[in-house]
Amino acid sequence: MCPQLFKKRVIPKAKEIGADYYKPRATKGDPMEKNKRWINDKMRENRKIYDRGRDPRRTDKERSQRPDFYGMESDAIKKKNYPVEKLED
Amino acid sequence: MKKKGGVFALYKLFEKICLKSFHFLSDEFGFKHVKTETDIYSCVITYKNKTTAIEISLEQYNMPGVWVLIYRLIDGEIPEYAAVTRPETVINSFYLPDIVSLRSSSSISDKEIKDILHPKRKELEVVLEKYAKSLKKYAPDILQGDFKIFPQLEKIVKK
Repeated sequence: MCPQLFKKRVIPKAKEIGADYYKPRATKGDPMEKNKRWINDKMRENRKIYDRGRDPRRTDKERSQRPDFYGMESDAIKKKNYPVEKLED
Repeated sequence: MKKKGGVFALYKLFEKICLKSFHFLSDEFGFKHVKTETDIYSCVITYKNKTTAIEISLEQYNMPGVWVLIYRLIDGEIPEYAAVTRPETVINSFYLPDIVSLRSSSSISDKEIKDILHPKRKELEVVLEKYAKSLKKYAPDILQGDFKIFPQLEKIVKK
């Protein structure tokens, strides 16, 4: 998601419902790998996972040209067939 | 770049290049650089004049990239970003690539940056210069408070 969406849509909603969200730290290492480890940890801990969906304002082409953090999380969740609750606006 | 100084050094560099590339906003369109917001996710530089705001950002998480978002001010303030695009949603902000593709046969992106998580100084300079030139070329009316193109852009976004 673009910054506007994450900061203005995802974080406020997470705070509203008391959910956690990935908070990267400025340390060395692949940020995508660290995010993947985080989502896998949450599934191992049997945490409930909410899905805010993708940025509807950006195109598939734009998404395909850059690392896809949302896609990575979705794939990791699907791989484990883990249940998610969709959060609509 | 990031390996040496971390993500915050990268954002500092981004801000420096950005302020240089987009200086025309102040010189020619009465904008002021009103804030730079930096956190782990992104660096967002905001320019504002009496009618319009521009947010230029470098995102390193979620959907990494360089983004230029143009806002129509409402009562002099930056309105909420419309994340949803239902038929009844009023959209007061649009991304520069949407404006460029509507007004020309070309498209614009940050594709010159080979690895967006480790952008090089030169790559940032090239992309920001290109975005600045495109903003000036394809959106001078919006920069001066003429938003007649917004309904057409809304149709694209709501497709």
